[in-house]
Amino acid sequence: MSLHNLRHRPEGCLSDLTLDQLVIDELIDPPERARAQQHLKSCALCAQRLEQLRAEAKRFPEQIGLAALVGKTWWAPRRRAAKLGAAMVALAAMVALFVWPRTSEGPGERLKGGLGLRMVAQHPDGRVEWILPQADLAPGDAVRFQISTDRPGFLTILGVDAASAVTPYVPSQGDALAIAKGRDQLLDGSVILDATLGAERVFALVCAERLPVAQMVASGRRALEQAGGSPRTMRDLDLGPGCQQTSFLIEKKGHK
Amino acid sequence: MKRMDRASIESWYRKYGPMVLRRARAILGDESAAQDALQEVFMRVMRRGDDFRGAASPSPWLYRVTTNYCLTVIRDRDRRRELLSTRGRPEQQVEPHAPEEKLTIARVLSQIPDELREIAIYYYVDKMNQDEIATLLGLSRRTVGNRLESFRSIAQSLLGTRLEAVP
Repeated sequence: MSLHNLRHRPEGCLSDLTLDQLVIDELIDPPERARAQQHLKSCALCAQRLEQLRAEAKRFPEQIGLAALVGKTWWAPRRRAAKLGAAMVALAAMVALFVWPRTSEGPGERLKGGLGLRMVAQHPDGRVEWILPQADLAPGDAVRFQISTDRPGFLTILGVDAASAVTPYVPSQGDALAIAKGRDQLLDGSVILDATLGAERVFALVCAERLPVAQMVASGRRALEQAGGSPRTMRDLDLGPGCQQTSFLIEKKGHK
Repeated sequence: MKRMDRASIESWYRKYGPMVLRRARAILGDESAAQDALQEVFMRVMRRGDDFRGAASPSPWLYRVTTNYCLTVIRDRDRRRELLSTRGRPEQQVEPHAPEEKLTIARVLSQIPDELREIAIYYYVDKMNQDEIATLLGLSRRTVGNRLESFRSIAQSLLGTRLEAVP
């Protein structure tokens, strides 16, 4: 686009602002609206531009998903987060696990099979960032999870911390949560990191069957025991062929 | 400050996002930077949701937030370029251009005074007339006209070509 052809609409034509307001039905002043509509009837240039803006608006949700915002924004927690309450309060440091068949892992992604878990943290000072391995997280940080999966199933997210606690984060109890096939599915609710420091392994588990969370927790405990009580050396949970999983080791650190 | 809930954000993002993204693309001339701008603008919407909701028509407010953010990006680019230059590293090469070659508004904007930049964007990118710009910025029409003339004069010398006179 060259500057000298940028201003190609004659004086008297409608500005993009006016056209935008027409597209989103926000031109509410009746005389102004009538004037704009009258002009559109006689100006092919503005009418064409209006159609162009409408077409762009229709394409927009496909171009840029809301998930693209997640790395930099923080949605207000919903009631469901409060319901998860106590269980979600335990997490001490977070990470991103990801599983999606892509050519390479992006920042904060852990890929394994067709399942991926990624995490985003909001620090008390308001900074929001994707969590990377060995991220400097601290008590009070809030964390959310994002899942990508190449098949529908039932999701559980567990944390196994340095104090040997196996905590279900999503869901906190009952049966695993139904999840659709799809990328970058941001889960409702957030987890506030507690004061437990040290290593924590976070597991994302997606199974074809809706299994009880308690069964997943029991598998987590067994795996921890087999690893001599160390989250650092834990291997996959024994869940059977209908499940896929990925895990991410993080280090919970004290206040900076 | 009261924060917006997710449903509101999603609704406004779908409603106003295309407008913000398109303007950022036009000003910055870079898709990646434009998407960053989209995110940053909506972060500001979230932080200043009350201002946003209080407006009878939020679009002009969003236009200004987007414009100011993009101008900040352009200023930051300038600073980085200056810093690299003063530290002896090769400055980013700007290819010589003939008037008929493409020249994005971002490149022109990076070389004009601050007080002219915002007005130039509304006039050349958004195709606003001088009355609309004056209303949006709370300036007199005369001031807007004078600044556009100043911009035109500088841009002509940068481009080496004549621009259409401001009416």
